[in-house]
Amino acid sequence: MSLGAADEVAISSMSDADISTFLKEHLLTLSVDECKKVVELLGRDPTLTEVHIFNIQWSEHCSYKSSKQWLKMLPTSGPTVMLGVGEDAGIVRFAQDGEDVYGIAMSHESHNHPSQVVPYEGAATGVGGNIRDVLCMGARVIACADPLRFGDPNGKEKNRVKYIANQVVDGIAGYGNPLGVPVLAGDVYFNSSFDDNCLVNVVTLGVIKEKDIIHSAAPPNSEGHDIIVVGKATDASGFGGAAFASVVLDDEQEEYNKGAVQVPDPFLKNILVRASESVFAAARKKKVTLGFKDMGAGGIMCATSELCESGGVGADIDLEKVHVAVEGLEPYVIACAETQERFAWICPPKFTSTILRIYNEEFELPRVAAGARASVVGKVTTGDYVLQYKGKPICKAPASVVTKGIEYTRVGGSYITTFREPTLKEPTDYGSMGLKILRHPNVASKASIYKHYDTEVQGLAVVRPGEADAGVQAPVPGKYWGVALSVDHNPRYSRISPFHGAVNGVAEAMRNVACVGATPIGMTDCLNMGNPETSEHFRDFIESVEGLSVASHKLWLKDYPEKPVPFVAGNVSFYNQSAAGNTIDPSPIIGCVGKIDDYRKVVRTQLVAAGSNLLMIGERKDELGGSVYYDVHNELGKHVPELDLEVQRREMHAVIDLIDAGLVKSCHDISDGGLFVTVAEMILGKDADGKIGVDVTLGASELAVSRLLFSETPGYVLEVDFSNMKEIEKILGEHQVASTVLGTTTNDAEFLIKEVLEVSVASMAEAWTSGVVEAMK
Amino acid sequence: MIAVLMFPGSNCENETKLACEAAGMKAEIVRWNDVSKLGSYSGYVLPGGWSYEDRIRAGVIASKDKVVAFLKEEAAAGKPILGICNGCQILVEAGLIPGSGKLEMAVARNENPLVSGYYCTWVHMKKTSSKKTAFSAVDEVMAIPIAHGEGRFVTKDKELLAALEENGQILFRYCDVGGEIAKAFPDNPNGSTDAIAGICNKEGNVLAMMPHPERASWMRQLPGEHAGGEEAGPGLKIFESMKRYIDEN
Amino acid sequence: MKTELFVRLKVVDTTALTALTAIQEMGFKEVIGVKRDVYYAFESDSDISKEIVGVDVLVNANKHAARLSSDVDGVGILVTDVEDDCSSLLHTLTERLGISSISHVTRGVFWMLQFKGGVDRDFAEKIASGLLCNEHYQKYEILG
Repeated sequence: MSLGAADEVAISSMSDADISTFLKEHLLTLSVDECKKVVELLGRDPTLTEVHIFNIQWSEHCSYKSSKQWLKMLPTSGPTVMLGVGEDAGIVRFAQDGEDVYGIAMSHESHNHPSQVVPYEGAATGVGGNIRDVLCMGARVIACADPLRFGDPNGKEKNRVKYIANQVVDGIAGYGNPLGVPVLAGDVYFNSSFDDNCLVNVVTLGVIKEKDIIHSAAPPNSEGHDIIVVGKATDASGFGGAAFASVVLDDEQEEYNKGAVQVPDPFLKNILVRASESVFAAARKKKVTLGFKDMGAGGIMCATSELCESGGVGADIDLEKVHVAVEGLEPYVIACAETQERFAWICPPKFTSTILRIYNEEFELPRVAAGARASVVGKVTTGDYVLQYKGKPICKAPASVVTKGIEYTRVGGSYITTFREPTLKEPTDYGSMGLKILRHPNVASKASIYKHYDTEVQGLAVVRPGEADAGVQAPVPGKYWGVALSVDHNPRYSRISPFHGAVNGVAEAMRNVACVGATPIGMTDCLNMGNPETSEHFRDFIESVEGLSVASHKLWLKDYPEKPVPFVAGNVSFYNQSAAGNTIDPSPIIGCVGKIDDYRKVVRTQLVAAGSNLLMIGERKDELGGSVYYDVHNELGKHVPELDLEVQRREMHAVIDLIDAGLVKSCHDISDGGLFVTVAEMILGKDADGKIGVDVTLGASELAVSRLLFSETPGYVLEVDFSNMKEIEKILGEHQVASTVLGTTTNDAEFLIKEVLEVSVASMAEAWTSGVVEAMK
Repeated sequence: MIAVLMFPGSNCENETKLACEAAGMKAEIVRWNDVSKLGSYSGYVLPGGWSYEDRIRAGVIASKDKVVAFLKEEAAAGKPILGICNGCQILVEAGLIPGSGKLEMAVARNENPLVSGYYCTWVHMKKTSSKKTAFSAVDEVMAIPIAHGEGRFVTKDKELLAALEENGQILFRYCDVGGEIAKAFPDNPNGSTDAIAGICNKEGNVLAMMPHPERASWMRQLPGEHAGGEEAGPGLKIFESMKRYIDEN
Repeated sequence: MKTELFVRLKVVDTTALTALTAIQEMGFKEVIGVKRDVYYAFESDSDISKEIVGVDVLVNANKHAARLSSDVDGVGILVTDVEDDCSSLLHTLTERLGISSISHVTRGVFWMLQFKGGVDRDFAEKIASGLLCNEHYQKYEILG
């Protein structure tokens, strides 16, 4: 049986060696077995276009073939979920006002490999792609967060690291700022495991009313609906030949390279967002149901086949109707290219002219970008998913076959690790050691980065980057509801123990949200890992997922005991390793969203008044594995924080209740750099201009002072009024949480720990404001 | 009714419209190519954003859009026109500020020792002219954010600044929290000549300012420890001032 | 000695395309193409021409093509800031990257306009002063 297409590939009659040659010639990453499986699935030999389609659909990136099975461990449903995983973005239930139920849409993606090669474009298009996912649900995009990982700025790759770091930050700013999406949170880590593979993750939030959600599926009864492709003219993006070039002087002939770089166009995106919102409004007014999906990997083919499969329908698409940037593109390129800034609509024919008019005339897409427009490319059918080119079908299969993907059962091999605790002498000058830690780029102020981002656009910011442990916005103008966001994960913890590193990531993200007084309601995760075909690295992936699962279950929803905080969005990025075998630290990066009923109750990090008490929650332990203190001594260590999740949950819920009761003046969590950094940052404040000091007395302890000051066992420091201690102790008692009085705040511009250290605010400010600036210079 | 003009690439139009409404004006967002009701508006706001992604130079391409030529007539007719950030850059490139219709100034790339290029932070701004304008009924010193890469007012015309000063056209300057005119970074966030943050025309009905009043129009937006909520912030007074001007003229 | 470097995107240059649209909408329909380079000029003790094209902060070979002469096809308009503090770039080149022989850097944008029919310097002047350059802080020079 055959399609009769001229470009049919006779796989069924080829030898394995011939198939292998064929795959190499066409730069396909399908394996020989996978190729034969295509024949089996279709019941015939595939066309060249179909081979390309499965090459993409069955890639790790699109199919999650190695990870799917293990990701089932993660909780993805529950009382706070409005729309779970499966569509372009997940949505958590946020607030209700009469009949209007509001949700916060969340998406989390990575764009690691392109950012290592062309860091500006890679980061920019990473932001662009993630924003499209949230927009496609019909949401207003309100915030972004950027967790970034770069190599060692003082190591052997330091020049490359600095180049990439600066360009990535420029790329994020160069895209998010013109588009008008404020950055609400983020974090940056520098370590040598990222020398050859930087990590650029993006988390995006949107706000939407439940009744306005637009699904990533063909609507019910959509036979005969039009399929419309909107946006940039399709080019050969993703079909570059050799990805990297050597330096060539004045060679304009490098067409083959053009496909490898995705070109960001935030100007076009800005127009597309506004035009699309205009379409949403028109559809709501006319009560028309539409399907909407963004195009990423796999382009038109992937988006339209998924829209159809989700709606249980097929399609008849004429690839010659797609607006292209250049003539002569192969049909499989038109179908599968990753050209940016494009979407697909499915709409009833009576509404098609409205969509075309809004994009092509009202918002003048063709004037905004050469060749950009909205074009009708096909119709929804009840049969197979069909792509036509020059009158002939070049893909014909049920939509479910196209989107089915494949799944592998991979197991991880256990391996022995030889981490050990170093033997270090106690510092003779704790103050000086503290300053060294404040200067470390993983601790130091990130102001030189986040001040490059527009944090104020849309006018929703309540707590912006630097002011507190999480960012907070008031997403519905006129309402006091606040949404909080934090992104976290410490890579060195996962180097020692992927399981504990992942647990700490979840705990820290939630803790940061609690520190502003918000209650965690949902999470995102992006598992940035090494080579899944290497059993040790796959073991790291599995242990990371186990850690995420255990933590999210134990640190359950505050308002729904025993129900885990759900993951509503996520991503997996494998193969973050270099040809030389340098693999990144396993990096399951977590985004946590929280809600506060009244944003006027938020607390920030900076000390508010002299004469307050400082309370610490979270017993200090000898847990310096992966700490900044050890890093400063060029050591890794072994004892990462191993959390008692029952205690963590009670501490976190106690802090939320204390803030809600108005009993906390400022609050900061204990993490990188330990207690010393926490208190130092509370003194300094976001702009390192704090005027209130601290007078602390460390109580008797079995632990050495270096442990008390620099151990990264999680905890909190709260600034409270002595007169409220009774009420505070009552709430702590209800949660069975212990606390220690550290000391008081003073009018002296210094950090004083009796008989241990005395450091001026000026010297702390100098160290803390220099660290990242020096690393990026 | 106020027109909040949306150029291709503007991105602050929604919150700018909300600020106009909070000040008691009716406002609608008007696309750059929607000419149907242009003559009927009682005032105009050019909001912040990145028209044409600041390609070639911030504001220059938008300054040549047909709607801007129309604004020149509206300015001459005495209608209030407020340009914020990118709106300010458009008005300067179009010659609507300082007001001769010719290109007399530039809003150049920032000079900033901490962050190269685009810079977003909170500063303070002081009213430094007693001229009666459509936008003057504001606090003498206000906290307000800036967010731009090209915000430095400069001119090669040595006499221009003195003339503007004499006419009372330098309406706002950057200052420190105590109201002292900014001498250097960080109080002056971009190296603007004479710490200039906002300039109006001689008649006082057109203002081009780089800081964003719509981002300081509700107390919740102000940074730092406070419990402000939906009540009016200092920036709202610029819009309220505009409303009063319309009511009185 | 002076070394000039012209760096152009090998991929689509959306800024050049928008500039072309803007120029045509100004009425200059004879302009049929616009290309844009980032321009650098270096003063150095020794010959840096071979080294400078491999410096990633200036040229990323995955997306840039670099050349050492203007190679004008049509009319070239070089726009530079009258006062451009390139000290940060100079520091990166000399301190971070160790190209210590460089003593001075200037940078700008080099626009190349292609005209249907012949080159029209008069139009080029109008386009330079009316769009590409704001003479209150920039200057331009026409080449070719």
